[in-house]
Amino acid sequence: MKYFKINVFMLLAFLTVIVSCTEVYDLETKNFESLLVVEATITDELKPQQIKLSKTYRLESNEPNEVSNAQVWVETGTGQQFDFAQTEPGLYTSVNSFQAEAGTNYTLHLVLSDGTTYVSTPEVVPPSSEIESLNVALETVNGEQGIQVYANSSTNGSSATYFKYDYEETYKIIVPFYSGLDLSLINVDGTNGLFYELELVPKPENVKTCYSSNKSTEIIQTSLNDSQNNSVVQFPVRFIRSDNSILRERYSILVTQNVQSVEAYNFYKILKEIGTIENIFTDNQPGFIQGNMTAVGNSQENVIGFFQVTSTSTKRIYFNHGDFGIPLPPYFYDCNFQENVNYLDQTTQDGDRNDYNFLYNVVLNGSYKYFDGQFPLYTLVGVQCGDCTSFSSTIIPEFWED
Amino acid sequence: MKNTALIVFMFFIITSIFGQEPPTVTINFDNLPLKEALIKLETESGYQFYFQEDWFKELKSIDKNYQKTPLNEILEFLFEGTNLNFLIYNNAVIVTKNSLVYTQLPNNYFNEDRETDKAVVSDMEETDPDLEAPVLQKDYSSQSQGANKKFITIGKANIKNTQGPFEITGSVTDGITKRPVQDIVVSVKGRNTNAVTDDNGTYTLKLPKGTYVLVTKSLGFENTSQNIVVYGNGTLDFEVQESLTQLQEIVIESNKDDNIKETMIGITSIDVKEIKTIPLILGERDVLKVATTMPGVKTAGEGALGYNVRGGKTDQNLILFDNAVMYNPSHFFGIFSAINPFATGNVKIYKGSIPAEFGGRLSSVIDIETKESNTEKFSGEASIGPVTGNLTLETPIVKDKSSLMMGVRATYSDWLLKMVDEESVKNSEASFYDAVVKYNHQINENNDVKATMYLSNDQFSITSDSIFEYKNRLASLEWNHRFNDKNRGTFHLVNSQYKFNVSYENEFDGNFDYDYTINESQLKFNMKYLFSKAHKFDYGVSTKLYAVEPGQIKPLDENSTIEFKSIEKEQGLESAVYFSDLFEVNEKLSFDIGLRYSIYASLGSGTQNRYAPDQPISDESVVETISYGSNEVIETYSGFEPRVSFRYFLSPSLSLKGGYNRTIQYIHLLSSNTTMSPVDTWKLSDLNIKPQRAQQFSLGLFKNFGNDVYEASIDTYYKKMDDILDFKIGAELNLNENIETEVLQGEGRAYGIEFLLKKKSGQLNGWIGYSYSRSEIKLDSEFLTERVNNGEFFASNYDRPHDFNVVSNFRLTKRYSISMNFNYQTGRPITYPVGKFIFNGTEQVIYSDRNAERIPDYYRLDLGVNIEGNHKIKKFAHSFWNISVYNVLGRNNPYSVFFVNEQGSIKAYKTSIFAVPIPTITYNFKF
Repeated sequence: MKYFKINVFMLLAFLTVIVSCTEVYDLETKNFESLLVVEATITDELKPQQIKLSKTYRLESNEPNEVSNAQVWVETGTGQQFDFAQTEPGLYTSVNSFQAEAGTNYTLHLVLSDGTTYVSTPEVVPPSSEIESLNVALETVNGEQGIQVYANSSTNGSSATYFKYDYEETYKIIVPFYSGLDLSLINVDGTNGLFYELELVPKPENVKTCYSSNKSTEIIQTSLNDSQNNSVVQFPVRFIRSDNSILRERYSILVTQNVQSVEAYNFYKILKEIGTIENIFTDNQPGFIQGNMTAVGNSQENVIGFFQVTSTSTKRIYFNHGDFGIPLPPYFYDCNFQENVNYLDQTTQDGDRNDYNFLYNVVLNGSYKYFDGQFPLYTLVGVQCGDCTSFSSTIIPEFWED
Repeated sequence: MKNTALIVFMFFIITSIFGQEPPTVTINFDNLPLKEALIKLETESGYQFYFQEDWFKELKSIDKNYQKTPLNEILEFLFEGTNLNFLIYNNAVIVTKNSLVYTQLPNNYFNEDRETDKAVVSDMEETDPDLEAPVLQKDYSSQSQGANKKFITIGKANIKNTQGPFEITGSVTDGITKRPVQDIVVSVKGRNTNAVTDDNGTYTLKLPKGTYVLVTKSLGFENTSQNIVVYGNGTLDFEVQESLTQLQEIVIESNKDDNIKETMIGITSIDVKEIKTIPLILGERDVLKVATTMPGVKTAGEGALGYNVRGGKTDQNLILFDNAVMYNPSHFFGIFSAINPFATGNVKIYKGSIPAEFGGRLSSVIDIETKESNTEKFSGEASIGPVTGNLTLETPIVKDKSSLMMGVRATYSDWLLKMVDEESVKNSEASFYDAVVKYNHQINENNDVKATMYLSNDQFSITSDSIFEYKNRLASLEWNHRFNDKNRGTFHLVNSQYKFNVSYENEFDGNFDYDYTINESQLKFNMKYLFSKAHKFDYGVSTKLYAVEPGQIKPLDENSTIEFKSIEKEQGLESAVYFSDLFEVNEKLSFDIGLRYSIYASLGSGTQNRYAPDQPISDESVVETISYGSNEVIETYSGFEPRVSFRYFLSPSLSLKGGYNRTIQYIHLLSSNTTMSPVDTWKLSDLNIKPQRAQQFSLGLFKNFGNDVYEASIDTYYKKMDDILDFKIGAELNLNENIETEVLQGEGRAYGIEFLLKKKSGQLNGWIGYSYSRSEIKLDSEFLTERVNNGEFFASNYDRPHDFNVVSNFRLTKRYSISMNFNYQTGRPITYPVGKFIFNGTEQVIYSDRNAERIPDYYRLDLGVNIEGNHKIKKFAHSFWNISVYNVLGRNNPYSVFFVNEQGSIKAYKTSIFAVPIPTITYNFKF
């Protein structure tokens, strides 16, 4: 039933600037309710399927509350049962790989450690649809220039209508001020004041190039209900501003297309709407979003979440910022370039920093990395600009293509 | 003539000659004017006649013969039907106007206590014949101090006519425009006797014989006073001058004792002229905003669209602009009202008793009338404020018969937006205008017609990809006909339309145009029959045709992937017959008994789903889909809507009133927001959506004191509503063919107590209002998905129990006054999260009970200074400055608190609309 979103950020123009004001408000839990949260998606892909169980937590808290030691299984209409075992706190993985098959009903069953039992409504796999292609273009969206990633689904007569997209983006990182050498402290003696010496040693491993990944956290959905097309055409999945550092080197995005049932689609859609503000003058009425899980024997208990069965399809694409002629985006961090730090400057009497002490501290705590220079003058950079493992990983993803 | 009374008195002082036989005369009057007749009589009788020539200018002609008739008989005949008296005295006939020359002193004339006796007389409605005394000089001298005006005598004194009280009627006209002025109070100094002028500016007072000072009192006009001597029935006209210091008084309600006298309960009336000193946001004089300072009328917050009257939803108010329904009375969301203050006469809000002639909404009728335009001369009014400019012109078309009024108000905020040095603001636009044209024509004594056209338009675009536009268009035609003295009829033909459009254009191929239109046309005959003093009947019929185009979406260009889609047109016919009787049982008790029967038919063509009764209504529970042909009746709903109220005077200044009201509403606003939005759609009742129904009981005590300067009231009510609409969480209401799958129909209840104390005049005037009220909703169902808050009553979005208002004005000098508003309200309820959870890799909040918490309380202080232009009479234009500061305390009143998902975690924000003091200067002038 979703048509379009009247995306009215009607911040009443000059009234907004001059008069109206929006400010952060301290969240404070008033009537905390601990409710079960079920995040369960079974796909038609043959793999170990995963289900997450947690409880709601207080607004002031940042600690998710995993639900451990539950019994989790999925039953089919034909009496088949797939058991799940806990692999991480709150994360349950099917003991055997399996895939959802068309024409079969699936029901999720949960028994928590306190014996409370929950069951979902039976769900079936929606019609499948492949992602036919991904493409990218340089666009200006809401006044900002950037690269837009579009998804297109195949047009092979599928009756798939409701789509939810997830993506995982992976990007290469090359530190801007790399040296194969590291400063190391030797002969440290603290008995008579501080004494140490510095030595340049080769880095134990190459930490110049890394790879980071992010998963989408937004709920990205579209439906063909209001479209003339019978497939998804040029649906914007991810927009990356031109000055986003993740575009400095090669970038890759894996887009997963999940075909949903109308109920699952609506559940996610409402979840998203409630978490977004459209208009300062008229708020959506928030409230509890009814999913498809219920507590057996206690229909009054609210259970959050949806057990959905989806058909999925994935596609990956690579590109570089150079492909679009946009300038090199700035690096992720400010490098705090420190030139000619003098080992022999052991005083602040001369009106500047005691470089001797500074060198000792930063080499010890690793906040700066050696870039250039010889005794007694060294050039240092912030660790993120000299060692990518400070925030990323050197492990090359299996799929990576340069 | 001025000395007549004194001359008469002198004659009176002279010894009486009572007892002398008058001579007989034989005379023929051959169609002679009275004056000629007198002269002839003077010759024939040989008596000396004393009179003033100009008394006879317009008097009757005499055609009669007398044979040896006593002189006094002839004179009696001649003066019959005039206000002339005579005295036959020592071969002379002294003709007097009005006054009767007494030939004998009343028995107690020299009694010391006469003054007090007189006072007793004055306080009684009916004159006691025993105390009936001629009006004598002594009365004059004791009352004329301070009122250095001449005396006007009313009626003709007649020895036989001691029956009082006498009826004094007259009209009040504007000294400049010569137009009749309505709602002016004509009161008698020192007595609790008042009258109020009607539409034609006429009033009627009943007074026993005596001398009085009549005073006209009104807010927009200077008070005038006139000393009178009452001898009998007569007329007295007033001319009043528009007050240059009208800012001094900001009193709502002009009928002095309506508060206690009116039979209906729960009526607020506001005269737009009188609100100009009230400090308001950005200088926009706004009659509906003023209404929200009265107990019982609220909004969900600053800038919120719509009004909540006595715990009702915003769609439950019948907003009539010259009898045409206005669907959205706001500009800029709810910040300004769409009612042009210069073109508006007065506004009446029926929040308790609703007259039987009105129907179709549950909670109130807001009846806005444009003012009568000037049939005498060209005049106008203009204002320049920071946001809008307003110009209203009135011009006669046929002098004294017909006139035209045109009012235009437009904003120049676009220009201001461009000046703001911020990209996002520079590119946004927001503009509005409204225009009203009114023509009225007095065809003859018995017929007049009025025609009004109104248009409003709002357009805004905040994000670069969408443009919103909404429009009201109203047309109304009214024909008043007077059949005879007892029967009057009004014929109304009105049409109103509300439409909005969303035009969306972005980088991706989803450009569209979305339209919504509702149109209604109404025909109404309203008859008034003044059956007797005790019974006044009002009756009539009305029928209204709705046509709704609930939505159409179409691709804007070739590349758009949006599919053209149009939701079936809806039609409905709402008709009613009504009858009411204003029944005055006696002086103390009166009833207003109204009966209304309304019937609504949802008409085809169209298709409707029938749902399985034992399942929640959803796309899955459709049992059958029924198609209906054009104008085929889909479903009918009907009901009796009795409207009964009474008034009982516990004492002359204290009355008890009560009422019972039943209302039915066949049209519903679809809004899944906590407050109304301009792009919310209206939906007609159909097979699956039932009409909303309400009943209200009200009871109140009304007291006037301090010679009607103060008004106090306590009003209580209990309202029960059935089948009011609410929506499932996340309901998709736009372009939904099966709205019923998203709708929850539940129960509502509201109750409250309202206190109001008004001081209507004086150097300090204004009002203090307080109300404690609750408004609750219950959405229960056997199905979990259709239940909210476990099916128990919960506070509605506009439930704000405490509401305290002070509106005041203090006059410093004739030209300067300061005014102050203060408002305190309980914060509105919000649905507050009860916890967080991780879903889809992101933090989300969980809401459970709806409206379980409240945002912080609201309070605001506004101050204003009003300066009248100088008081030179011969000035071209009369100017008025208003300098005001809104929210002087800079209180950051939260409008809403909301929770958004930002980069995977939840943040809470609160928004305030006017968080800082906002100074405004407005310049108004009138010519």
